[in-house]
Amino acid sequence: MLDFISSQITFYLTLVLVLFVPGIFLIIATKTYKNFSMLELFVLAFGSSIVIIDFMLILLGRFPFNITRFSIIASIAFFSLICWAFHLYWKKKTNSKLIIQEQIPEPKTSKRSTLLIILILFLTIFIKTIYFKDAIFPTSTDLGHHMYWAKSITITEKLPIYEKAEISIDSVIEKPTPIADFIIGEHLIFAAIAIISGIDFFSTFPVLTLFAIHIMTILSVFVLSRSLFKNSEHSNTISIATLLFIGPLFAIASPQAKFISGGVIGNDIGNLFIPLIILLFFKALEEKKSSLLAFALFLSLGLAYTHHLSTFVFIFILLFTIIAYTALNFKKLPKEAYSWLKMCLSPSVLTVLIVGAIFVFVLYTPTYLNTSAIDTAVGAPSKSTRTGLTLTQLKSTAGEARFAFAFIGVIALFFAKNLGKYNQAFLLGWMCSLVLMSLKPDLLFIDIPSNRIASYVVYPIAIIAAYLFVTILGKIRSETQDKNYLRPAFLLITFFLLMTFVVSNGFYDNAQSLNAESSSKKALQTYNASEYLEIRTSSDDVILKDHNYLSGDAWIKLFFMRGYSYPLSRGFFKRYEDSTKLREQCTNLMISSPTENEADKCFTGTKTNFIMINPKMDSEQFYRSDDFWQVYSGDAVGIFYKAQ
Amino acid sequence: MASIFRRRSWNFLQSTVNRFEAAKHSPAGETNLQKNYTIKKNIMNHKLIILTTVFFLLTSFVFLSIIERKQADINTANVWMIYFENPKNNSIDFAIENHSTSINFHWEILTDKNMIKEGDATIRNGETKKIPMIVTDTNNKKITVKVTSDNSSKEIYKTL
Repeated sequence: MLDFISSQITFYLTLVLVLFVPGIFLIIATKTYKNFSMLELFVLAFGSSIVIIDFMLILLGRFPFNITRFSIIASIAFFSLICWAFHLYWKKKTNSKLIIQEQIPEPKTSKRSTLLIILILFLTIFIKTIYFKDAIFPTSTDLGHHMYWAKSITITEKLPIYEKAEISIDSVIEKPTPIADFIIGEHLIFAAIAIISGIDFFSTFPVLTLFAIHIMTILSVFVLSRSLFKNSEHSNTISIATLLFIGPLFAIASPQAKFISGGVIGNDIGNLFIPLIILLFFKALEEKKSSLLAFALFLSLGLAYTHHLSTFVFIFILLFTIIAYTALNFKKLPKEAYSWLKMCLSPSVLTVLIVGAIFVFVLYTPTYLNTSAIDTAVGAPSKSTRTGLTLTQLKSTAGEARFAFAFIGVIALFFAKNLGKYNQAFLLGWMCSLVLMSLKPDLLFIDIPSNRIASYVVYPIAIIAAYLFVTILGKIRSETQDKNYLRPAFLLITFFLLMTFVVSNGFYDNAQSLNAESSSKKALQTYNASEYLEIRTSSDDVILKDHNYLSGDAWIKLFFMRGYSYPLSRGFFKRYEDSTKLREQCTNLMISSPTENEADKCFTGTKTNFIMINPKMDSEQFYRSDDFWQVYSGDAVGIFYKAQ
Repeated sequence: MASIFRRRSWNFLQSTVNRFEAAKHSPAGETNLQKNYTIKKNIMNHKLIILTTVFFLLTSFVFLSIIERKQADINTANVWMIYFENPKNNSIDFAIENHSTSINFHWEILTDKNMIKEGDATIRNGETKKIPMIVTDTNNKKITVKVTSDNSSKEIYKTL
């Protein structure tokens, strides 16, 4: 029990050290605290900490320092000291005090609003916790793959080399080749937490870290909506409605809690960065502050080091925002473009760009920045899953009620007055880019799974839906003109009808997404069998496991740490019937028909001698042959050894 | 010492009253005071939101950690397994690893379906019992270890 308590305390202290301290000191050093509210600073400190830790660990890995507990803590301390020294220098120079929100004309938060926000946040965390209760045990495939790389950093104390070994058409395991699917920023933050706290990867730590990132994402969407609608008379109500639409309602379906337990790390961090970067760009352009633009570029660089799809999506959001701005403010464009250029050529922006270029071209080039990966994402859609979603599919991804409000909300936004030129442009650009990328990717020459892109759309949809929801109620009860278009009783009924539609739809979606039970029992058996093999095999032995019927199989590689492709894996059956690409068949043949000649060739070529399968699905074919010994037997896992 | 403290307190009170008086008589000053008050209130409300969010998250984290700790304990999974101590060589030494509520196990050694040895073992939850086994005349025969407990049975085998 004492071990548990001490590991908990160490973990939470590590979270504060890694996910808040560097960001807070950066904000102090760059004086950006003067431009933001307390809540905005809270989420900005969190987001920028992730980027700082990423760059810190890249530097440690590139220079002759190993990535150890001492080197990480010393780097954070050194960085914080430098930032504090900068702050003292500025303070001496300008004689200014460290006062947050000194001159910010931002929407006032009343006591009642605060209580309502707290209540919604409580509901959000509560509903997600109920879902995680049966999904907290580490079993998911994506999380297993990512944690392999994070663990490899903790073991080697170096940056990982993203490589995997494939089986050739000649049934031989080839030499490892680079892979572009993983990006360093997805793993460094987890490695830093694991190294400092010493926490085991087979624990709650990966999901809890993602949960914290997710709650920060919700808060960042909330503060962004406050900023975007700050000129509206209903700004507070819109932001609270946004929090309701993105928090407790539709709380579990992708990209919410399901993405967290599923370990879709890149998307989760990308979803945090995108609203934060939009907030920074928006404030930078509106207040004409180059330091904020530099901050926005710094986070954009962090996004580029974390997730390629999110970066790609963000580039399109920015392009569509420029188009929306041009369409709405055509006459002002030349003057504005000049001020943008002036900001871009400021010392702070140029410094970030130069440092960014040094990182990308000299220190560490993100793995996806190669021709083949870019070719894969750009061009005409190559698969049916990439040709775009139907409107019904998009509606189901976005949530029916949210989608209905947002659909009309976009039209209302076009005609909105006094919202602000940048406010409208960012909202329309964000929404239109993602809807077009999801529905008609061929128009933009995008070759990415459409459902992945659609998962990003829920955030702008929540904001715009909240805007329309509040606008409708505001219009039928005009306080300023002191007249109601409906009698108070009808107004109340309208409000409750709209609320019932939204809340019932959101909670129905939550109920549909809840798990029946935890998969921990089956996964525990997989891990027990993995421990058995880890002790009794060496790197000369080759293990093949099944991905179709074993629970938590992606985590098996964390027991061995003998390479990303170790053990070999029989993938989903449809993978072996891919008409667009010639796939190796050995991993399927060696389990499905191990006694046939083709499989025998595979056993000889790959030197596979251990097979892990679900005995209820795949043991018969081995039992019939004298070549295989069953050496381990459990309810959910069986291990066979190829003796001859 | 006490007189210095009294004088300083009096000066502080006097300056505060003066500031309020000045603000009361100047519209601009009144706005500044109101503005400062609103900003402070805003900061307080934001602090409250942040602190409660951290509190809710922390509570959720601790709850989930306790739940996960229970789920990660294989002794609560009600499963048992058998395996050869050495999977690669000809040894028939085997082990029964018990994480179930059953404690009584019965094992049999079969040579090509003929039972040659049997025995019982009492294994408590969380324990593993290693059973050394010497079997003679195994040439080209399938040696099977069959273990039963309550209504379930499991087999492992080697063809030597």
